[in-house]
Amino acid sequence: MSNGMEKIPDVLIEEILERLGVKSLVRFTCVSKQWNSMIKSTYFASTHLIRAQSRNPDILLGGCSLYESPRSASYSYLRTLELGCLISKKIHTIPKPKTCLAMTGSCDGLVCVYDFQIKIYVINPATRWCRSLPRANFQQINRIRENLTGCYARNCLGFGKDTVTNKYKMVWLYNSLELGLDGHQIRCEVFEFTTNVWRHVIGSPHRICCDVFKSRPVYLDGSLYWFSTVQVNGETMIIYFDLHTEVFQVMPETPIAHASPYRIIMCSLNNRLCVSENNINSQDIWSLSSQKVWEKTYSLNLNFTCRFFGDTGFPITPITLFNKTELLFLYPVATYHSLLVQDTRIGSFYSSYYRTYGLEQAISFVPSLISI
Amino acid sequence: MSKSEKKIVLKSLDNEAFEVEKAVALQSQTIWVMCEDKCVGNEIPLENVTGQILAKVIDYCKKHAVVDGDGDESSEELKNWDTEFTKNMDQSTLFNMILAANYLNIKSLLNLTCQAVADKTKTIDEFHTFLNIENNFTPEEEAQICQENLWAFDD
Repeated sequence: MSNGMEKIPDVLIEEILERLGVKSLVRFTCVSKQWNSMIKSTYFASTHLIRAQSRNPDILLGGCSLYESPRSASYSYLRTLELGCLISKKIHTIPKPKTCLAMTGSCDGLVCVYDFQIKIYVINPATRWCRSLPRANFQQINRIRENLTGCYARNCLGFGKDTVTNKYKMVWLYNSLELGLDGHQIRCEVFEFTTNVWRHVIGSPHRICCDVFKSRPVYLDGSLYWFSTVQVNGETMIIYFDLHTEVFQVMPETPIAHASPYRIIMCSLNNRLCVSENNINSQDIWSLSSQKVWEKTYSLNLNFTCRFFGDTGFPITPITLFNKTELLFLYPVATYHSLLVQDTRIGSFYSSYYRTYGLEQAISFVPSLISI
Repeated sequence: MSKSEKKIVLKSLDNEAFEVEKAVALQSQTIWVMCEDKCVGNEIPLENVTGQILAKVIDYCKKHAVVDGDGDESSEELKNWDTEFTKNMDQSTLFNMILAANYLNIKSLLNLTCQAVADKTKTIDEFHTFLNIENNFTPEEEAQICQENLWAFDD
């Protein structure tokens, strides 16, 4: 009988390895020199990514006080959570920050973690890989302003990939006014990882909303998306930036144009751009089809959450769709932000999926081997 | 087409013969090419596959030939069948199935068996044994690589 003594061709070993999780792969780098160099190659990272994208993502949790205990020496600002498992794990990727850090959305399993004055890192929460990046002009001015006045602007950073050249970029969009500078200029800084330099490009034609959690741009398929501030005619627009051409444009029509700016939120689900409006007992989610038509995709029943937490007035933030029909949300309650799950087929919420003191942010990411 | 033309005989490495419907066997790209070439008769010799493994491959192809192209429910059923199919296979059978699926060029079976190995094989030792891979690191090198990624070794 044939048995394990037969040699399996390398191409089949690769087929098997592509299907393994990141943790196993990192462990298997010490199987042999060949495996070590294969697993660490950029070619393997990209084929592995394609497979990983078809599975459930993991969740990255962040918050000022995500400590095990405030006194414990082990610092855990960032934690990862596997869907289907209720235990989160600390990741010690970045040095302990002095202030609270914000996070961008993820792209190919990478996330940027930053503050508004000094620090920016790009991390891979699955491999614990981390790279520290130079400050943006925005942060430098913010730092000076904070030292002088105690105030600083909180415009969120955008992160994504130019899908034509496959290069990752960061984008910081802000109004000079918010930084205490003269004029109403809208500035835009772009960072390229190959040159490791920030540069200015022509900013958006309209001011963007800088409400703390709404100014986080959404990345999808080569572009970054922001909400504008409410215009004179009462409309909220969606502004997008093509990461290849580096040009801003305004989306012609949106279903939430006339909604209250405090009750709307933008996200990406299932590779579609989504906008959502909270109507107290329900929240409708619209998604943009490939034919550029807005379709009402989900309608969430919020009776459950209203009963338990009261109407906070804020829209709940969809994080990801998993197991094909289940939607994960971040529900904003003052001290106990919770992760909730709703089955989109039956429209009912499961009880609190995950809650921990100090949880403020949650994003989904594909567990990948990518680094920049 | 007469009945005999719709059937072909697959012959394993150890000379076991299997008569199967042509539609079943043609899921293998390798067999399909052989039939197209008409360089073989009704009997196709498969020199890399043992009878024990070929029987399992044929089971898989029969199941997938029947349900092909039906609605959602049967695809769900097929998925369950696939799971059961690989569930109780030992590692050695699975690896031979991968080799067979690769040789016969049956994409979906290759996918299924590779995924099953990835799901079942958890330890480095298992990979060493079954893939017959030699650890060519010096102990120092190995320790250093493990040290770099200590987090991946805690369970």
